[in-house]
Amino acid sequence: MDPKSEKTARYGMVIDLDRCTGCGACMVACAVEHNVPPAESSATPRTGITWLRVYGMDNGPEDSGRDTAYIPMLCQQCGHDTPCIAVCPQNAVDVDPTTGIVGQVPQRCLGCRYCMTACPYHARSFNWWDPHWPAGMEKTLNPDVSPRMRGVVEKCNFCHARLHQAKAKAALEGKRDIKPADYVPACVESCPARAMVFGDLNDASSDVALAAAAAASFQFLPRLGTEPKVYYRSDRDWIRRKADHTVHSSLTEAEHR
Amino acid sequence: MGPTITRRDLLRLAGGSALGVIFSPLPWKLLDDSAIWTQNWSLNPPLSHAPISLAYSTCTLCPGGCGITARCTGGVPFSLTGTKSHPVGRGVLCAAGLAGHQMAMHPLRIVQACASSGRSVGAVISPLEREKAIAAIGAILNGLSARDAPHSVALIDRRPGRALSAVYRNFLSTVPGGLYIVSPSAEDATLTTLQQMAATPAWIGGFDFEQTRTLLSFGAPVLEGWGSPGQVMDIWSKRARTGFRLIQADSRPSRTARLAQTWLQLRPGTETILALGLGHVIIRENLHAHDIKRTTRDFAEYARLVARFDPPTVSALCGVSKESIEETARTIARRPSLVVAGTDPAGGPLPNEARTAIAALNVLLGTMGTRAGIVARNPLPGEPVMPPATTIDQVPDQSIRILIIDGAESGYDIPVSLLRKKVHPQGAIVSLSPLLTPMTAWADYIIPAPAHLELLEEISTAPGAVTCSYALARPLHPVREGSTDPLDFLRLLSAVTAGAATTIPTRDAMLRARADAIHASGRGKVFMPQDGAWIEVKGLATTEQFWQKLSEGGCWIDDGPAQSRSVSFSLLPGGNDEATRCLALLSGSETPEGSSVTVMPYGVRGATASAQVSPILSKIFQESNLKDLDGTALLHPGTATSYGLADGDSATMHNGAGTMRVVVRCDGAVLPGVVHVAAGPRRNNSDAPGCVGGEGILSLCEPGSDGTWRLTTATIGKAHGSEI
Repeated sequence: MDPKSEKTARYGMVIDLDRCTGCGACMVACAVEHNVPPAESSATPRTGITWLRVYGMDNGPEDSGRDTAYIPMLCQQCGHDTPCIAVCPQNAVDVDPTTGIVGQVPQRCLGCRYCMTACPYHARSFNWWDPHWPAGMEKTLNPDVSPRMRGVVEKCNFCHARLHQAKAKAALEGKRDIKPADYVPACVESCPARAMVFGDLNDASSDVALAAAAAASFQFLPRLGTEPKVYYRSDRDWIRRKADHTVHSSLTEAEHR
Repeated sequence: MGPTITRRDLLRLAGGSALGVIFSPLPWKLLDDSAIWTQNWSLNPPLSHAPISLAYSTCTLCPGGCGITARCTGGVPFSLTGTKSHPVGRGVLCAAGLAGHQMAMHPLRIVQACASSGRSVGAVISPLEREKAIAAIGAILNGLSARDAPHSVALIDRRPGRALSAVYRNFLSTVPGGLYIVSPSAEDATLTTLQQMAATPAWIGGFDFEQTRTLLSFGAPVLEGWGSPGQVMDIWSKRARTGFRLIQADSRPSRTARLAQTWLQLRPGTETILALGLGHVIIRENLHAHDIKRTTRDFAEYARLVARFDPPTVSALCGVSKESIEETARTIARRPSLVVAGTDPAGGPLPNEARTAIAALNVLLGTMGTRAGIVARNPLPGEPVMPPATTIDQVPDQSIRILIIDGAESGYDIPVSLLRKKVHPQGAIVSLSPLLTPMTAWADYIIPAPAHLELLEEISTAPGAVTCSYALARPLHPVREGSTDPLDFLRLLSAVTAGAATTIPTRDAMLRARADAIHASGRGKVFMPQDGAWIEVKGLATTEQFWQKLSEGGCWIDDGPAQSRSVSFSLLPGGNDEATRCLALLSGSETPEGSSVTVMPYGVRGATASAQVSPILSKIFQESNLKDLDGTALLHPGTATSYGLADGDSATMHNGAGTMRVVVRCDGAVLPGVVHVAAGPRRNNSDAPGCVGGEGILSLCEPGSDGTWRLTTATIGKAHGSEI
C-alpha cells in the first residue's frame, strides 16, 4: 500500500482532572500491560519506572479554601519540536507520521538519558536495574510487549502493541481503518472514574477531539510550543494556572530583580 | 619517475582516514552495537507464544465482587480488566484487582503447613506435615479444660455471608464451646448499628447511593475503595450532572477528604460530638422527618440529650466552625441524603457511641426505608437465618483455646495484640492465610489455603448494596500443591476434636446448594459477560443450566430492593447509660501529656499491615508518592519542628506497647499535635523475599475495652543510628 494514501491519525487523550481520584489503577494497569518489573528494594520515586505517574497537587491554602487535584502524567506525545527526539544521539526516539505517536526503541537506546533531561514533563524512566520478577510471575507477562533491560530509557507509547492488534484485526476483517473501540490504551480502559478519553484528534467528531476543543481543556506547559497531544480538563482555574507554570513565572518581581 | 610516498604522506593518509571515520557511520554503529552488547539481554524472561484467549471470573480480593475479564496465554492470565457492563463492578477494577492474577505467584506465598517457634518478631517458622500440625492443634484442644478456656474453638470469618461461612457456623455449633466471630467491615458499620437500633431487626439492606444527592461520611473512605468501587466511582464521575455532594467529616487529610466538596476536619475522637451537634441543629430548626415521633421510641430523650450539644459548644470541642455545623445540618436535611459511619482499614471501627449517634441521623432525617435512603433488601435465597455473630470485642479475654483465622482477605486490619488477648496462654492461633503476612507470622500454626483465583469460590451481595447478587469466582490458576481447602481443614480438624460431629460438604456441593436455592426462587436475572446479555432466571429450565451460566462467569442480580416495612427505632439504644457517656464527652478529652502526640493508624483497603498486595503495586506505594508505604508518619510542619523533625527524617515513636521507626512527611493539612501513621505495604524486598516484618503501627495500638484502636498516644523524636 502506498504510505501516502494511508489515512493519517493523530492519537491523543483528554484527562478530566475533576473526575480523577488518584486511585492509581491507571499506573498499575500500565505497568502490567507493558511488563514493567516491580520495584527493586532501593527504588524510589526518582529511580522507579512509571510510564504513567499520578501526582497530587494542592492549591496552597491550609484552611477551608484548600483544594486538591490528582494529575496523571504520561508522555505528552509532543507534536512539534519534540524535545526527546531532538537530543537523542541514537535515533532511538521517533515519531510515527501516521499516528503521531512518539515511539521509543529500547534496542537502540544508549542510556545517555539526554531525553530524560530534555523532557519537560518528566515522563521518561531509566532502567537502573536488571528487570526482575518473583519466581513464577514471569509467566504472567504480556506476550505482546518485550521487557526492557538495564541501561535503557522507556516511556509511554499509547500502548502501541494494542494499536498493532487493532490493525491486525482490521486487516483480518478486510478493512484499512481500525475501529476506535478496538484501540484503547490500558490506562483509559482501567480508569474507574472514566476520567480518560482517547482517540484520533484528527477526527473532529470523535469524543476526544470534542473534549480537547472544549473550553475547559488545556495542555501542560503550552508556552514551550511542544504541542502535546495529551490534554487535560478542569473547571478549576488554579489547576489551569499551574499547568502553565514555569520556574520563571513562579518568581516574584523582587526575586527577578 | 613515479610518485614517491613519503612518511608525511602516510601520516596524512592516516590522519585523513581517522577524520573520515569520525564522520562515517562507523562510530555510531559501534556505539549502537556496544549499547546492545552491553545490555544483559539473557536476563530477559522468555515470553509465551501460546494462543491468547479470554476467561471470565469474579474478583475475591474484597467483598466488592467486581467482574473480571482475563486475557490468558496458554491458559495463564497475563492481564485483568473489569468486565464491561458488569452490574456490580461497572466494568472497572481497583488497582489491587488489576494485579490480582499475580497473587498466586506472590513471593510471600506459603506453600505448605508450618509451625512457629513462638509469638515474637524473631520467631522461626518451620515446615510441618499438615496432618502433624492438625494433630498438634487437636492435642491443645483436648488438653485444656473448659474451666481454663470456655471457648474450645473460635473462628474469625474474614468475609461473612458466604456458603463457607454457613459451613463454619455449622461446624462450630457442633463443637462444645465453638464460637463464630466476624471481622469488622466498613460498609456494615452503619447498617449493623441500625439493626441494633431497630425494634424489629432484619429488614435493613443497603444504601441507595445511586439516587441519593448528599452523602455525609464520618471517616468512611468513600473514594478509596468502599462498597463496590465501580459503583462509587460511577456516582462520583457523574456528580456534575446529578448534583451528588460528598461531605467528609475526617481528622486526616485522606484522599476522600481532600476531594470531597466539603471537608469537616474535626479533632480526633470527636465524631460522636459532631453527630449529636448536627442532631441538635436538625431538631432546633425543625428539619427532621415529620413523623419522627412515630418512627422512634425515645425521641424526647434524644432531643433532651442533643439540646446540650449546641453548635458553639460542639465547635469548641470538634474544631469545626459553628457555621459549618449549621450549614451541614441544613444540607443533609435537604433530602435525599445519607449519613454513614466509617471504619478505617487500619484504624478500625468508631466507638459504639459514635456509630449510634451517626446512624441516628439517618432515622432523624427519615431516610429509613425510603428511596435514595437506606432500603430493605431481600435475603439471598438459601442463606440460612442465623443468630447475630459475635464480634471480637465481645469475647472475654483468654477465653479461646484454638483461634482459627480465616484466609479470606477482608481488607481490614485487626491488631494481633487484640487477638492474642482473647486466646488462652496455652492456646494457639491457626492461620489459613495463603500468604505470609504480619498477622500470619504471629500464628502458631499455618495451614495455607489456596490463593486468589485458584479455587472455585463464590461472591455474594456487595456490602451496602440494595439488591442481592451472586457470582462464582472461577479459578484461573491450578491449586498449588501444599495448599489446603478450608473445607478439608475443617474435615481434618473435626476428626481430632472431641465432640465434633458434623458433615462437611464438598466445595462443589456447597456452592451448588446455594445456586440451586437461587434458581428455585425464580427471582432475578443473570448477566453474561461474553456478550453483555441478560437471561431471566425463570427462563432457565433446570438448575444445571443456571449453574452452567454462573460457571461461565455469569452474575446473578435480584429483582430489586424489597418492600420496606415501617419500623420503630431507638435513637439511644443504650438508654440512660449511653446518654451519660455522651454527656461525659462535653467535658472534653484529655490532651496527650508532655512530649506525647495523638497517633492514628490509617490504611488502604486490602493494602494494610495484615494484607499482602501484588509486588507491582510498588508503583503506587514505593515508586511514586501517590500512596504511603508502611511507617510513613504525616505531621503538621509546626508539630514536626517542635520535635526537631523535618520532612524526610527518620523518627522513633514509642509508647508502653512498643517502639517503631517512621519516616516523617510534613503536610500542612494535618492537625497540630496529631500523627497519622500508615499501616500498609512494605518496600519490595527482592533481597530477602521471605522477610515479612512486624505489624507496624498496629503494634503500638492498645485496643480499648470496646474493641477500638483508632487513637493512641506516643512520644516521637528523631531516630539515632540503628534504633528500632
